[in-house]
Amino acid sequence: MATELLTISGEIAKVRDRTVGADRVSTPENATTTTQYFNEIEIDLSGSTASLALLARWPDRLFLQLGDRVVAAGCYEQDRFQVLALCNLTDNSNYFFCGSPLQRRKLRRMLAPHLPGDSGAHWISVG
Amino acid sequence: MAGSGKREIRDIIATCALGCREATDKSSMTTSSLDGIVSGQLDRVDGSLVRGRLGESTRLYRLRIDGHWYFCSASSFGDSVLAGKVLRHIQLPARVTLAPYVVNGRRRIYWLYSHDSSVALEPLALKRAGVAALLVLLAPVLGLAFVLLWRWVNQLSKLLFVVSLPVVIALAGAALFSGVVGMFALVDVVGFFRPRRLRAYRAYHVLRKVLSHGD
Repeated sequence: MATELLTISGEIAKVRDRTVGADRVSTPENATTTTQYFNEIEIDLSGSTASLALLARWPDRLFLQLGDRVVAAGCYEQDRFQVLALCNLTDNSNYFFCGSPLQRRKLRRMLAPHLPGDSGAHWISVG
Repeated sequence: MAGSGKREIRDIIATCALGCREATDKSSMTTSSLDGIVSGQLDRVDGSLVRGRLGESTRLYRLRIDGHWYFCSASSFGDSVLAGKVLRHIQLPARVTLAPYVVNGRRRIYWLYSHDSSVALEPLALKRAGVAALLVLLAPVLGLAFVLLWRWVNQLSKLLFVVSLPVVIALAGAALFSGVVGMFALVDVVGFFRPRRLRAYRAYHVLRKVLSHGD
């Protein structure tokens, strides 16, 4: 069953960020382990009890600041709202946290009504 | 930016930038020799709350100039330590002139000049990227030369082979070195030679030329 995509919007009240590394075994024969690093980010929105969970492989591209108005699309996973796409309405930056082209198209269409003008034309891949 | 005619230079920058802005307003920017130089009032600087993977120098900054948002990090300038200090401690509001370029719909800053503090954040040297680009091009050429000429080297007489051995070893070393460096520098080279970034580089150089003539 496909997970239901939802949107959440609000102002950023708090950002928690930590770098984590995940070991990945490339082949079972020679069992070489490579560590992939990514940032686990949690965003608390003012006026909302839900906190957003983001997984960023390229955190250098992501800009978050307190007071920024954001709208996020994603789904609930293990009682957390896992963000798949995030739009910063303050500076009109849009970010993808998923790699699937089909899902990206779906998210783009889903978030288009929330974005002003043609600011939805460009998206930055972070996840 | 230092020199005897510092004030004149500042005035020239202001005049040039003003000219550009007026040209933009009149939609005749394409004919302007200083196409791509923008001047405006910097009224807000924010640092990202997300830490960059490579430390403080890669932290993303967001600058609001005349209502438009521009992005940069300290590492995107030649002197990242100075850039970090300027971005953290700049007094607002400030009059600035900059050479912007757009990547993925996001305005980035190639060069920034603060009129109040007379500090210019110079861009990264093109020389390093040029050398990296050269190595990227050199690696396949040397590799191909080795593949094609190895049979010929094998046919050399013993004496000739011994004589040419240092050259062969040097070439093999150069091929290996350029291959490894080229592999790591490829992303840098692609980022550096984006057409829009090169346009900003050209605008910056035209401005420098105007300034040197004015001096």
